[in-house]
Amino acid sequence: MASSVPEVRRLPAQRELRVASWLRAAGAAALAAAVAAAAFLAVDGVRREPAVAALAAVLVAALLLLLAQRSAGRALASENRRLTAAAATATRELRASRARIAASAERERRRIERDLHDGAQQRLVALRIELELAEELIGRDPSLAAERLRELEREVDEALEELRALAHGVYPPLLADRGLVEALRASAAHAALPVELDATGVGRYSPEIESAVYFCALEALQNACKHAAGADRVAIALDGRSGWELRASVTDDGARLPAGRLAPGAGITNMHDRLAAVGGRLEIGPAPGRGCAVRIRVPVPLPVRRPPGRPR
Amino acid sequence: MSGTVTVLAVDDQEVFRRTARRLLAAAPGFEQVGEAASGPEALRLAAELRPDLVLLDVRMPGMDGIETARRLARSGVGATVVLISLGELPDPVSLRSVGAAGCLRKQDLSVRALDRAWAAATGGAATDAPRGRSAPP
Repeated sequence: MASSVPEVRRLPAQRELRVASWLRAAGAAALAAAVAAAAFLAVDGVRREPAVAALAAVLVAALLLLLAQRSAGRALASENRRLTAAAATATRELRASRARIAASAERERRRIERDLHDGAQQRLVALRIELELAEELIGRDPSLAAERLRELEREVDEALEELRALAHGVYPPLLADRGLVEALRASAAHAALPVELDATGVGRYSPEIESAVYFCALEALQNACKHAAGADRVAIALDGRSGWELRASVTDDGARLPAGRLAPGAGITNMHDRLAAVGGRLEIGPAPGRGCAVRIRVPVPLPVRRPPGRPR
Repeated sequence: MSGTVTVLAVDDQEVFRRTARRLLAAAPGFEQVGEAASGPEALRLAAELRPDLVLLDVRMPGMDGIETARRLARSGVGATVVLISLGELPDPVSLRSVGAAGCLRKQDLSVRALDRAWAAATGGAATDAPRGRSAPP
């Protein structure tokens, strides 16, 4: 599921292979020189022409070099085939992940449309109808009409609140304004279980990274609240100290995750894809002791070093 | 046709069912006899309550309003079906093909619009209850 790219890990093999083929060639040359020397020594008593011995030695060396090169060529060709296959697999994985990201964006758009249709739009249409009813009522029963109008005011408030919540779901304003820690702290305050949030060295990152980590951590928190049997609390940890990687974990203290129970549902696939889109990865496993831990890692650009001595 | 038109309102949205209750309560000559939140519930209640008019939302999860209208027509309960929609209205051909008598945009629903839709659907037989307001020209 985590989209590792095999050919990147195997790059050193090419260099090793080249070194190996050179070593083989050098070995062959040394062997040839040894053969030539031995031949020269063996025929010492016979008094052969040194030029003939030298020629024989050069011929043997050339033959051995040729053989070494051919075997190295074959090894290289096989390695190339393996790398090509690995690249094809990686490309397939990447395409599948991209298709899933596109599909999930599409699903998200449809969800927003449905939420707007079922929520604010329905309320506004209902208000439109009821305002007309209230208008008719004014002539007949002004005090009842006034009461109805007050009700409608409350309904306007509800419609506004629904729109606000929907906009918040699309992109939480707190995340844009104050960053990951504050946004997660605010969301955690409304969770069904008590949440302990611990953040170290977390700065501001690009909106894509911040929203990917925010929504995945939130999804993990909601999963823990919903599914973790016997959990009393959830711990969220954010760690950006390394400077090149942002780590987040959501850990509950519920029942230990039985092996194989975690069938990846749509929520988890979404998390994987959302993180993969920013080069991150997700691991879900048992937490130390008890419970379940969701670990998120996202590479972040190294902080820009400012010239020393210049205040920001 | 007696003076009062009995109505079954069908919508999956609670917000809208509440508005339909208020609208029908305020509409002289109409009386709401039931409400349903889904197509299957509408079919069951229509068979049980035998309403004169079914106000039927087009967009519902599962069995939508179009399919519900088709099944209502086939079930022979004999109710006049008026489809209501928040979005685009179904075209007249598909309206006729599912046996619906008319359609209305949700945002246009009012006592007068209800009255006009009923009159149009039943060939001009408007309710004979006294109107709260004069009808527009």
